[in-house]
Amino acid sequence: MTKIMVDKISKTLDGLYTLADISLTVGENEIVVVLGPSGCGKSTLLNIISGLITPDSGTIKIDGADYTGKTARVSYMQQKDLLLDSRSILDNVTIPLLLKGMTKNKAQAYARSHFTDFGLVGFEHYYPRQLSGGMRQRAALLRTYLFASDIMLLDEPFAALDAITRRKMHLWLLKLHKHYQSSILFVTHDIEEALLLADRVYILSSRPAVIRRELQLDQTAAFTPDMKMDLLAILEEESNDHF
Amino acid sequence: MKRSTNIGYNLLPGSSLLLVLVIWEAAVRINDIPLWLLPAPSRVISTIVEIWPLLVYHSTTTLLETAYGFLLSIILALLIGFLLDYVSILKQAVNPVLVISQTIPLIVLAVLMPLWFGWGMLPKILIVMLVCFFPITINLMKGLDSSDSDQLSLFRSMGAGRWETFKIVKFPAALPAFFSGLKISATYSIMAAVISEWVGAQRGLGYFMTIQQKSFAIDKVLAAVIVICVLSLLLVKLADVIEYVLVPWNRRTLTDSNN
Repeated sequence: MTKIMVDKISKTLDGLYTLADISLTVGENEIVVVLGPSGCGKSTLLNIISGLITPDSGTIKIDGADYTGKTARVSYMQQKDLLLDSRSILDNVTIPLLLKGMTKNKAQAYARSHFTDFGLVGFEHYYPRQLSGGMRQRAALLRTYLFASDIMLLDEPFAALDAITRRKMHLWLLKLHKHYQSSILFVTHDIEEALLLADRVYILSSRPAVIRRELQLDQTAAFTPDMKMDLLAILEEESNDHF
Repeated sequence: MKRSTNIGYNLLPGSSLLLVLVIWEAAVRINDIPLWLLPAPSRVISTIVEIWPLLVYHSTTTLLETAYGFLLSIILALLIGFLLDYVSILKQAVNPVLVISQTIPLIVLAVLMPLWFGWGMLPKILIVMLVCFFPITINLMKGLDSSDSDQLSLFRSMGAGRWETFKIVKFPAALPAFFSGLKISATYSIMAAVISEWVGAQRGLGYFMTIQQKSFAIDKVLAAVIVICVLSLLLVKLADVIEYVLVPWNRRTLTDSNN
């Protein structure tokens, strides 16, 4: 079943033709990665799907219903963790539950039940600035998950982490995805990350972004060096104008 | 290494102050400067002890005026800050008025206020307010503007309303700046009350100083000055303590992550 359907989205942002006729789908319990060069409009695409900005043309359908320009349906995690300095980790991750009208006690109990899986046990009452980068991202991911667990948009969530922590987070995310049923749309400009996480990859061109290629990945098969070279060639070609 | 610098930091301010006092004391004694011109620090201290009840009597008035003025300026700053954040177009209209209010020479207002509001406490409270509300308001406004725009759009994407976003994101983020403003105001607040008392009052440290100054009791004037300094420092310390309690996430003692 199709969870997200992006249908012929175009957008001109601040006079820049950014997205040209983008169509893609995310199926149930699927991890779809959108891979593209820096500045190609990946974040704009997520902003449109989340409802923060309205496309010039095209529609966003979620579970078959029109959600073009409507917020508060899917959860959206940006590059920065955006945790509030003023609140403890527990109080940060419960914000979406409180916004939905859950009582504080219920929200805290529900959030606490996820702390083990998200590797945050023992840090409930720490402030964000007391945590490491990896933990902050996991806390942000938990907040994202608690807002809407069925569909999550992740915008380069691990880009700011060091290589080792990033790899740990990848494995952790895959493990987590096995027993949490979520449809994830993951945006990145890192090929390794895309190949590691995705069930399916869309490769975007540079601005104005169009879909250059769609790639179905079989998680059990190894990626041939040829495949990687192919992808690298596309990305490199598309990045040329930005050097 | 760290230990020795810590000791240095603790001793340096005290020792420099002590050095100034020693030089002052020595200069007065060696040159035999008359009491009505410049008393030695030792004399000022013995005067404080001698006239203590008088100092307490006048301090209570000054402190009361300061407290009223200070509290009212906090309330005024919060009102202006919230209003300008809510109706952002007002910011351009109100900002020049705020700045101009600070360019009026304080002493002129202190002279004119009693004509308009009498010789009681009111004109003093108004002067304290005029001095105090500006740093608090400006810092609060800066703090409210400091929120990350991505943070705000995250809350928008979660369907949070304007008031919820203000309560959860903007106001807490503004608190550290608000307290910086509060501490600046605290240093000036007592001085503002004293200036307005100097111009005309029946009680208060400013009034006391004018009387003593006219009879060349410089030791008593300086005794009052020391009381003013101490009270101002205590007020700043009080703001520090309140910040420590209300803004626990910004405490310097919190260990930062070392990633």
